[in-house]
Amino acid sequence: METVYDPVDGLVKLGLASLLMVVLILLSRVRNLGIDRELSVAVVRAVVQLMIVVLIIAAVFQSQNLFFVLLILAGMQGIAAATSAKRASEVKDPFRITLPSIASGTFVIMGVMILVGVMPLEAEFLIPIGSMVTGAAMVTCSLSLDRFMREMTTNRLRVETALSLGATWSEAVEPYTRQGIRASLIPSIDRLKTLGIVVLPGAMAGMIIGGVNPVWAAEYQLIIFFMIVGAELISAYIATLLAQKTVSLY
Amino acid sequence: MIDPASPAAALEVTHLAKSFDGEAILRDVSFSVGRGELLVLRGESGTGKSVLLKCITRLIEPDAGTVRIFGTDSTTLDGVEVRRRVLLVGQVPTLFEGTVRENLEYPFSFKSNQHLPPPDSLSLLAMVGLSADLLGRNAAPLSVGQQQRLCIARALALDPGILLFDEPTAALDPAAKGVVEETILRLNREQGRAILMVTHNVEQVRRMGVRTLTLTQGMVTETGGDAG
Repeated sequence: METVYDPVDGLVKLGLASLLMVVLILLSRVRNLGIDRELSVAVVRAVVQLMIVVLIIAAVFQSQNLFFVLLILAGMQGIAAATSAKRASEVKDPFRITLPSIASGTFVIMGVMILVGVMPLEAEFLIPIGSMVTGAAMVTCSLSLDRFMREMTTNRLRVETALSLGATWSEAVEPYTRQGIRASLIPSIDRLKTLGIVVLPGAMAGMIIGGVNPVWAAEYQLIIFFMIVGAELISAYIATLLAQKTVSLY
Repeated sequence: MIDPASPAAALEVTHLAKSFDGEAILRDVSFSVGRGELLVLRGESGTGKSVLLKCITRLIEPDAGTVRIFGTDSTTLDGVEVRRRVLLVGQVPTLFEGTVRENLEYPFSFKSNQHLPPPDSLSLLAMVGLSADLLGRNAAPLSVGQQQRLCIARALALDPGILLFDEPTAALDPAAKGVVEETILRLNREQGRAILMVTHNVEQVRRMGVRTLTLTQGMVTETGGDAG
């Protein structure tokens, strides 16, 4: 059964959900938690941003112009890379690391899925799935860089010792790039392990609410998860590979 | 290509200079270490002793000057090759996870060392005065003195032409200091290894009684007594 969208009903429901946020903001103010101002700004930003994005996406869906789809995905890569770069402040020229890492993770995985015919070349699929994959690649990129840089600081003497014993630079730092990749993928691997048991997948729930057959929803959820993990792995690998070329011991 | 049979000095440093952010750490350093010689380079903290050793091993690239290893200009060699021939043992004993044996074998996991014969772990431990019983034991709980001797044994496993020691006893208690000093002297006297050791400790210089240079304000300013 396909759900028909009723704009009035939708706005009433959104208003009721917003009331919940207002109550939470008021509670945090009464309890003096110090997050009421930030939470208010975040809620307003979320509503405005999402509405603007929805208008753009609706227009792109209607046009079905792949150039606009690509433009939107490219914009996502830029914003994700800038966000991740802010986190990786100890890395030299972080944007030059985060942009290729996130973009390669996203586009390689999406490209493969399109080529093998799993993902249709349609705006309705490319934009939402692209955003999920980009977001996941961004988080992994930040986590892998953060862990790698911390490992390099902690193990500076070990890297120096390995170099003194005849290791090349990549051999000397390899255990720490590995740590960076591994640590950044732990949340995803744990999420995969508990998929459907502890973690109720958001996309699948959304599809079922939207009236899609649950089996089909589960299939798509798995496809999305595999794409996310693939993009994360590529992103973390490229990020640590590029980062190890920019760091030095002295 | 390094030729250990060359008649040249084991290590020859000429007009070496290095600055960091405009501050000259090494200004004009020249000295040589003969074949089979143990040379001590003394200097207060912050005089550039460690930087000098890292420039010699090309962990840090010098701004000017030359380093010759058995007569070969080190800039004509790959940095990895330089470090295999001129092996630096650091101030803080630095070991890797695993047993004593795994630590001795660790350098052989690197491509540049894979053509070398596998280490004779028992002989290496004997060379530095460590018991063969330690071989299968986890390296982490060893005393700092034992760890430093294990680091020396690991360096010897690669049979380097020249050994560099950066304040090798600075982290040790007096008893362990004596053992490590004795180990270094024995490696020089019994095996004829060329060794350059840096230290800030005047007493240690006296105890070791070998040719000594002093590094002050980034320059070798004085040649000490040769009790050698």
